[in-house]
Amino acid sequence: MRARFLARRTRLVLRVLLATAGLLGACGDGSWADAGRDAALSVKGGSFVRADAPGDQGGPTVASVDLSLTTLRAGVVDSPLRGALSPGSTAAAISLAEGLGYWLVPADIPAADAPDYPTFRAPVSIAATTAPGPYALRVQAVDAAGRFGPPSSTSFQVVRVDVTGTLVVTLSWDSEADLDLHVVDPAGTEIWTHAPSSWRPSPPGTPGTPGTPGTPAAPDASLDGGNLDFDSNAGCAIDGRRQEDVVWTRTAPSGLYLVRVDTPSLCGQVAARWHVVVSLRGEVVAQAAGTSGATDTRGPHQAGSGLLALQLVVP
Amino acid sequence: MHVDAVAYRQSSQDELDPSTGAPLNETRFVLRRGHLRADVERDAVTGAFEIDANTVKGPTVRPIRAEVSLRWPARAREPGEAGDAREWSATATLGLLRTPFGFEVAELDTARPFLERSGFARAFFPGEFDLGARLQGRWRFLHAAIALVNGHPIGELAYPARDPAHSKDLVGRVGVEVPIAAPVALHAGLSALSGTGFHAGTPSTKDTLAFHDDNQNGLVDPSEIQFIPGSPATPSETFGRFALGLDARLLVRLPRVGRLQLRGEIVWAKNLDRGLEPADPVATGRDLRERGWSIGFDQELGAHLQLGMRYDRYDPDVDARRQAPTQVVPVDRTYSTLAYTLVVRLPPTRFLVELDHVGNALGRGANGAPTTLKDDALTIRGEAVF
Repeated sequence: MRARFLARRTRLVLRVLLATAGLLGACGDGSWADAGRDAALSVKGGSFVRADAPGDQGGPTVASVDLSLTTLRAGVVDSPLRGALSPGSTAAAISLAEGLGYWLVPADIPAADAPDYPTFRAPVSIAATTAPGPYALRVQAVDAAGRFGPPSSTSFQVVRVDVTGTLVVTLSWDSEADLDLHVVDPAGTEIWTHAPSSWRPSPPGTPGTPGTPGTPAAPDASLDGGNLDFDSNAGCAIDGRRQEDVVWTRTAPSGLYLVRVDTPSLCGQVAARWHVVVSLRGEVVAQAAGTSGATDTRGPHQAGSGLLALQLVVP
Repeated sequence: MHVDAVAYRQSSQDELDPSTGAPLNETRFVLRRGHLRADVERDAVTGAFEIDANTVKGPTVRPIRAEVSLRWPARAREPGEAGDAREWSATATLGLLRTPFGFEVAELDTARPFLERSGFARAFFPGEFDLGARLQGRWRFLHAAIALVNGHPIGELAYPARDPAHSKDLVGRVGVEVPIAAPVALHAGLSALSGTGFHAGTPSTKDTLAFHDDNQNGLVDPSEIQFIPGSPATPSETFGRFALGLDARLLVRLPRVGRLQLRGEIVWAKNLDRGLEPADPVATGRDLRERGWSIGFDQELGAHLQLGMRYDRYDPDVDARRQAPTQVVPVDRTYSTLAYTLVVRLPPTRFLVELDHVGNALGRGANGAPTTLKDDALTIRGEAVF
């Protein structure tokens, strides 16, 4: 008798729980948590919605859009975007035409000279993997009822800043660690963070040459040597670039080059997988890859430090 | 020992929190708590030491209880033993002890029919245990406890189990346990806390130059260099905080079915949040009034089954406002959870299945206004006590 009673109760409880589970699955309301990291466009302070931006639903219009630059570098962070929305707007929806999802930012207080027009400020970032080319930025105003207005499009160009030169040694890596590129040229000069150029002025007294008293060096004289372009993630100040290049823009001395990869800090990362590519007059002539771990951060980090990634002879 | 399998959670993402580096995925297996406890008793003196190992934020081992107590009467009487009718008892305790506030903070993890405490209990008393001295006693149906504690529980975000200010928090509870009729009993209490919080000062900073590549040409132009002046150090400050709480439980023993427990608790507080959105009235320029409450029930179904439901709400800033385009408007910052639980008890183990319908104001609706973030969760817990 007691067993039957308990069995009936158990079945009842399970039915209630299953029904409740079904109910909750349908009513998990609100917005989704989504960082939108895979989108080409990201908006600081915005909420990402992984869906196509709605079309014109009879909502308010966009009064003005000010994208301060019409050419943006792939990988740019927080480039200013601001504008004004027509009265009654409570938010702006920002997206790339043909892009993934859209971003919502709440409307801000109106400017003093247009007290009825809410404004918006939305620093935009472009993913480093974005292909160069023309793009259209779409902005829509949204009212308190959630109705979207007609889109306002602003065209801009995405460009990629390529490193070019006669000889280019590129170090790139995959995590937010602090790695340093060291390149030793045939003269034995080591180019690295603390000595970012191999160019040296000619010794004083050489007649008719820069370096002689009264003969200033040409403004671009440093391009005669090899130059380090950037110290990425220096001191673990993360910049997201994760790439350093040593470039001989004009001529590269013939002889033996050594390329080393030093790891001052992993900045809390477990490891950093790096890749070294050497290009001579646009042709890849050498490559190397490896992984920096905790043991690579030990010891001094100075001239001569680092793991030998490759050596090559430039004719 | 509590081992959780979070089968589903809506807010999970396969990403990392950019500010902390912590994984945002919560759909995982996790050792929620593993407690190892040692006790000692010598007449009037008792001691307890307990450590907790968990993997909530990576493998962690920490002390959660370390108590030395002096009690009167010296030891508990066996049933029927002379002196069993003593109507009072008292205990003085020093160490890392459970904060005497409300019902949920004091509820044992192994007795609770829900996975975790209500949101407001976790916000006000994160980790439940704090360092200090406590005096508690009982006289007939009356229970009372008062404690002087650091005011920085072990689960606090800022200074867990430390005390950056010399002032202490005074916290206590007065409660009654009244049998109303043979199968019905009422447990109720009034709790209060008065203490001091800490706002950290800032060190001095040097003058710095900042560069922002405004025109995206990859070069440093003079107009892109900004001078940021240094600033002198600012002193640390303290601020007052308090809380007042009411809790009640009605226990009904139903024939053939088991115990039914109806429970409710409400807390009004000021500047007390230390676990969810730490209150700092110095930084915000105003006091933060908080309010939390919960109601629920749990019902035993024979010796092996128990089911329950609980709804709790916590508002970390009752006076919150936000700037709408043309005016400042009130905003609801409430966190709420509707929890359904089924417990299967197979001593010395328990298995819990809990469905949480979570509503919090961390999302943003299409109109730009704050809205709830999808965060429902289904969790299965295995518990063993040995």
